[in-house]
Amino acid sequence: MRRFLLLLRALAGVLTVVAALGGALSRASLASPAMPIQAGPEGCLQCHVGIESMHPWHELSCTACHGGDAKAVRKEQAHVRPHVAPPHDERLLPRDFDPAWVQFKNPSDLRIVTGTCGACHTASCEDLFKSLHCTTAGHLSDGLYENGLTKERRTRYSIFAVKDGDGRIGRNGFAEFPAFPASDDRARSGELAGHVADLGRKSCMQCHLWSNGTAVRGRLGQDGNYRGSGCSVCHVTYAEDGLSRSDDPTVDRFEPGHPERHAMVKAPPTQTCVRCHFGDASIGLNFRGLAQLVPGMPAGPEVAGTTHALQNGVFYSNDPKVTPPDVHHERGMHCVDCHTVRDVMGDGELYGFMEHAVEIECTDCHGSFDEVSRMTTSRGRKLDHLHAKDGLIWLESKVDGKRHYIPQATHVIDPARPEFNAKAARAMTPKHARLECYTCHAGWNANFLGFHFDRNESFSQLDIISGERTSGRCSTQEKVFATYRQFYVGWNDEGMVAPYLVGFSTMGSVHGRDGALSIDQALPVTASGKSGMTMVHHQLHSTRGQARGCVECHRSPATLGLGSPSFGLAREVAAILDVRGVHLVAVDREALDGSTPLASVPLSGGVAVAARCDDLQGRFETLYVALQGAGIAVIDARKPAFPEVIAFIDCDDPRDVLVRGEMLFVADGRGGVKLFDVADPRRPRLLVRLPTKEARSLDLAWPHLYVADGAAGIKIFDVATPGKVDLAGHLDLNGDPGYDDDAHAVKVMFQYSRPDDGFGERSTARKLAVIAGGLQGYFLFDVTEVGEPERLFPPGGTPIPRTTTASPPESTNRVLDVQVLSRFDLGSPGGDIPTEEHDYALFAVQPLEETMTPGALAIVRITDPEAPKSVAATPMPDGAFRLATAAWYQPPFLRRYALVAGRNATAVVETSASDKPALVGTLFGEALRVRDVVVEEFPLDRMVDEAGKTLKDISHEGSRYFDLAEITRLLHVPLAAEDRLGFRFEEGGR
Amino acid sequence: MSRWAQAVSSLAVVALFVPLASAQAGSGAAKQFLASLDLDGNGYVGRDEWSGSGATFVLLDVDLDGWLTGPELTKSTKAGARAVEAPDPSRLAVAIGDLPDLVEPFRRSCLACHDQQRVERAAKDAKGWSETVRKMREKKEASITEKDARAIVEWLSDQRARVALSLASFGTGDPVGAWGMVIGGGDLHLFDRDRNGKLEGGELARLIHQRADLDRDQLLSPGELALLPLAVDRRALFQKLDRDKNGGVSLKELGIPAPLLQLFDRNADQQLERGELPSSRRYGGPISMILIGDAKTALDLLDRDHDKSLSAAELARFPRTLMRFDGDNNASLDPKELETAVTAGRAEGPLAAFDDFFTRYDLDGDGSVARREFPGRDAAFARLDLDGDGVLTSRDAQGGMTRVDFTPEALRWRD
Repeated sequence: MRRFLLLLRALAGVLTVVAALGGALSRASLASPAMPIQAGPEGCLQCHVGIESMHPWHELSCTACHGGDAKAVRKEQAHVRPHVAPPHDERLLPRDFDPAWVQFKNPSDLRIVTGTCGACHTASCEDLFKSLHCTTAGHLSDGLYENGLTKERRTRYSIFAVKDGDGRIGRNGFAEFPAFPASDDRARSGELAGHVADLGRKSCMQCHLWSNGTAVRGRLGQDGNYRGSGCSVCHVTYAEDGLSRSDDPTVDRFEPGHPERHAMVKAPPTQTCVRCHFGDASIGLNFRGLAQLVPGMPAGPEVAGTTHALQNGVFYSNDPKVTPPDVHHERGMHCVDCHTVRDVMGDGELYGFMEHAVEIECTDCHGSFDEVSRMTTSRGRKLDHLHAKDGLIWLESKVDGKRHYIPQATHVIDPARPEFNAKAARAMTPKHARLECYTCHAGWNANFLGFHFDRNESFSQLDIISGERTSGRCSTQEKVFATYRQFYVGWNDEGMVAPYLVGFSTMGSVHGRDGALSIDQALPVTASGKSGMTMVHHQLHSTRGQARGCVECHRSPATLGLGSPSFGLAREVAAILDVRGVHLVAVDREALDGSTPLASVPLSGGVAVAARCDDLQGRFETLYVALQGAGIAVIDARKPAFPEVIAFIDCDDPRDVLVRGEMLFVADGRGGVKLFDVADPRRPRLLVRLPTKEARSLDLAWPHLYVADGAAGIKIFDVATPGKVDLAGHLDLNGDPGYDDDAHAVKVMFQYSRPDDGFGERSTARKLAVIAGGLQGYFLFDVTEVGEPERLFPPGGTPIPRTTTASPPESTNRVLDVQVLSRFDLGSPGGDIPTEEHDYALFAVQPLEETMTPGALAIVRITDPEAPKSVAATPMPDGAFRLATAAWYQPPFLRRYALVAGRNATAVVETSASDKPALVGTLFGEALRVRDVVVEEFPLDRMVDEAGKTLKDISHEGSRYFDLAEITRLLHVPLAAEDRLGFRFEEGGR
Repeated sequence: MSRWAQAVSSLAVVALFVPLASAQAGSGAAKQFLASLDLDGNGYVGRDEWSGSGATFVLLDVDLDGWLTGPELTKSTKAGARAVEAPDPSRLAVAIGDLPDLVEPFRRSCLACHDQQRVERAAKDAKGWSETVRKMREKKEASITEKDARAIVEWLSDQRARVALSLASFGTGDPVGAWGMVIGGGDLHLFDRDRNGKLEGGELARLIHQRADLDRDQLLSPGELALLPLAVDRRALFQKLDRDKNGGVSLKELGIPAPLLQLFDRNADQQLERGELPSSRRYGGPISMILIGDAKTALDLLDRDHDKSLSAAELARFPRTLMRFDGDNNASLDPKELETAVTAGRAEGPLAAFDDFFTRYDLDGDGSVARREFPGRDAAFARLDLDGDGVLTSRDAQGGMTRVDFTPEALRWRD
């Protein structure tokens, strides 16, 4: 399974192999006096006339490598015949499988390589056996840990058992790895974990040097996947279509799966590395400016911004404005121009993770803030292809010999140098010494939050390790959420801040032998009892000269792990608050109209409901119901068929509730805002009361609480320390202190920068407050600096209705509620409409006269908040008073909905197409005068909560998410106005 | 005349006026009424155009924006019509809330001229507030002090939303409904201890107290007291009721609040019979088979003696909802009558909003809900079946307060 291919991530740095292998081969060949093979003409060439020399650095005979009988005159006698019929599929051959035949087919196959390549390149081969490319150890570790199958955050298994064997265990090294175990189909079959091992054995075991991958010889439709095995994976080039261009007349030129020529390369080009590195970690894609498609995204020759031909069986996005290539690729460099032979072929240690295996660092070539490059790797090994001249550092490509100037970080921040860049100098300071360079310089990344695999026991599938067809067919290419813009960071195991992407983090469904669904979108849980929907650090390989802006870390709580509004996976139960009470409903994702009512809690005067969901499955734990004029009813909803009121909190005039972490925020109307500690929901404890004019609604973007304060606009409190809450900002919506605002609701989102704003510059990142302004319409404010808010829409000078001087006609609309999210809009199949990622605000709009008139759901594109665009407005015959959004995954696509509280029902509007919302029914037909609705939700990008609790596990030992104290400190770092912009690296004309 | 009596009188006048106008001009009546009050012709009735009391203006000004619009007058006239039918001021007071114990000068004069929002607006800044106080004093209400006035404004702020809610509920049609929706349904089952088919005395008191005692501490806090449609000035009411000053209103201290009883007790016999509890079709009790929507299934589930008809005994749990379909009055439902019941039930929509889970889904009355009785998805059933025995029983409902275990072991799917 491709997710398991996280190995690709683990192997991220490793692409390089061959450069060094080439060098090593060459050096070793010349140096080895014991070389048992000799070059010379053989009978083979009578048929294979014109065949290229595989090893031109030291000519070798055909049989020296391939075996066989060079003197035979007939093919059948000359060639080695298999003792048993070999399989013609991707199953993993045993290590002792018919060595003579294996050697004949591929002399560099790892099963026999010790006697062929290894005869001369002995040390390299020994190292290679222990490299990640052979063990695929990192690849196997994440999914096992995240599903609780291993207890330690490190690799336990290799594709074949392997021992270090040299008597030395270096830093981060292991003594041995046992072979990947067979899955017991019956053990733990009732759990998701019981099926993950099978997934690994059936979908993830081709990604290593023991295998040819999925593109076995003769298999069609594998363009981009064809490769060899063993040494030849890297050192023998395959064409995109897998067809031979050899001069050897005997080669079948129409059968895919042959090397392009019978020739080795010392240093493989990028084209070779990406035969494997195109999976979910996508470094081989990012590097080239390609991205996996968003589910459902049209692509193909006629669709601009996508590849024109299938690669790896799929099309890719390749829009240079959205997914520009890594600057190194852009300049013509290859993977191995950065990565060393040890990165790729190992250094003799058994490593579990890529970050331990890779020795190259950005600073090895670009130097540090303090000094120019020492031209050595981080482990002190000399980089032979780097040269200094006139105080500048140059790189000579291992692949094509091209020379590249290497900018030095210290020059960029030196005002005396022509390369000086003032903005860069502001960023590249000792305070940022613990950031990986690629944290800020990662231009973009494709991030698919939430994966889904399905195992169907009514079918069988080849177990790649055992070679048997066993019960259970695993399908894995099911992405849930997608983003190219979202950005996350955390600590890597070196104590450096690095970008984070989703880990293996796969939810799963299982169909039993009868085909019936037996496990439904279960989420993994690790052995430590935390969620297995993890993230982990990555070198994204989308490096750009222009860095991200400071605010993308220092003003975005989502970046640091507190979650965003866009990636909540809706689960199984909804709570609908109507005039009679709270109704718990089991949602049928496939037929929302047919959802099943479970229980009701009679409550009088409910106006708003908020839910605390559990950290592992996103299921209701506690509901907090605001009862107008009375208080907050606390409901234990862990058993949704048997809810129970467990506490009541006296308030004055509650209008809205928000629960985050262990804090409950109550918009208490004229009573202000109240903060409660609800660590024990049975015993809520008032922490602080904040004065407001008429608190109506709330949103939290840590550390700031945004309060829609009616006539007083938006008040912003810093609630990082409940005992010391400060008023941090205020938004005067209409801009005229003499007249009342009409703030009903507020939501806050962070808009990340994009690589190209249309003018060749990185776009501006900002924190955006979206406000439902009642009679005055809606407002968009830049609240990146809450003390210096800027109204972006309506633009300055726009007259705002003054609600206090006259009562408008009853037909006048009021904007009552708002929700925000980021999402992809799929383009048209013909390509006329491009697929784009946008930010949206959904508004509940209701005329003044509530009794009879219909309301509307308005959808506004706010990607450019200075020029928002209304894309749809759906009439809501039953009125539109409050809004919730829900994203249910119905394989293979995520379906998005707006749930609109109306007079007599919760209307369900499908918003999967932003510009074509469709009223599809009601969620709970028994409701009457619906006040609010909340759906169980699992936030996929929320790793830490506001109580400081780490919500999700991490599969790499030594790595961790930011803790709350760090997050709070980072979000409070003062920034000058110029720091809000991105940094462009100038090369000083070279 | 008290302010609220004035309000009722005003509404009564409005109510008398509008039905007549309605008969003449249909939906145009409200516009006509508006036009008669809208002296400056701007389409709204301002406070200066209103000749009635300030309190009535506040009552009618549902959105409290200081203007009366056509729809507000329409709603008010409907409410007024109801007030005419049931002129008991206490009922109205229940619906819209009771007056607080405000200082007398404010009660007498200020609200007669100023709607509450205007007072609030004046209080927004010091200058406006001083002006308001000065004007109050000019009305020779020397006894009102600035401190009093501030207290009044605070009270107004506190009550504004609640009054608006009460008015909205009042104006939109069902003064009993807002509270009746949480006191109807299966409460007769739950609280009628002596099984005499009615709630009286202690049963009724317990129902009312328990419905508000959300934290189950046997005492009503001020906020819980506010859940009852009694407590407009909940602090004053709380102080009045909490006679032992122990910080909560006990069952005994609360008793049976007369205004609440009056909401339902149509025949004024101090007890609530089945017919007096809200009888909206939405709260008609258990008829869960409509969720399955198949008369045959319903028959299979309920027909314990397999005689192809449902006897009175078999329908004992559904006497009201199903026996009304007993067309031949033989005290049992034959398949045809059951089909009619299911069809009718389907048309009516699900009824058992407040039935608990077992009442709703335990169709065969065996005390558990089997998979075939539950209409939801397999995954939903499995989630509820915590002990994994394939049926939902009281064991699955117990321990609601114990933490649900989401460990892998606990998440095991049960076939």
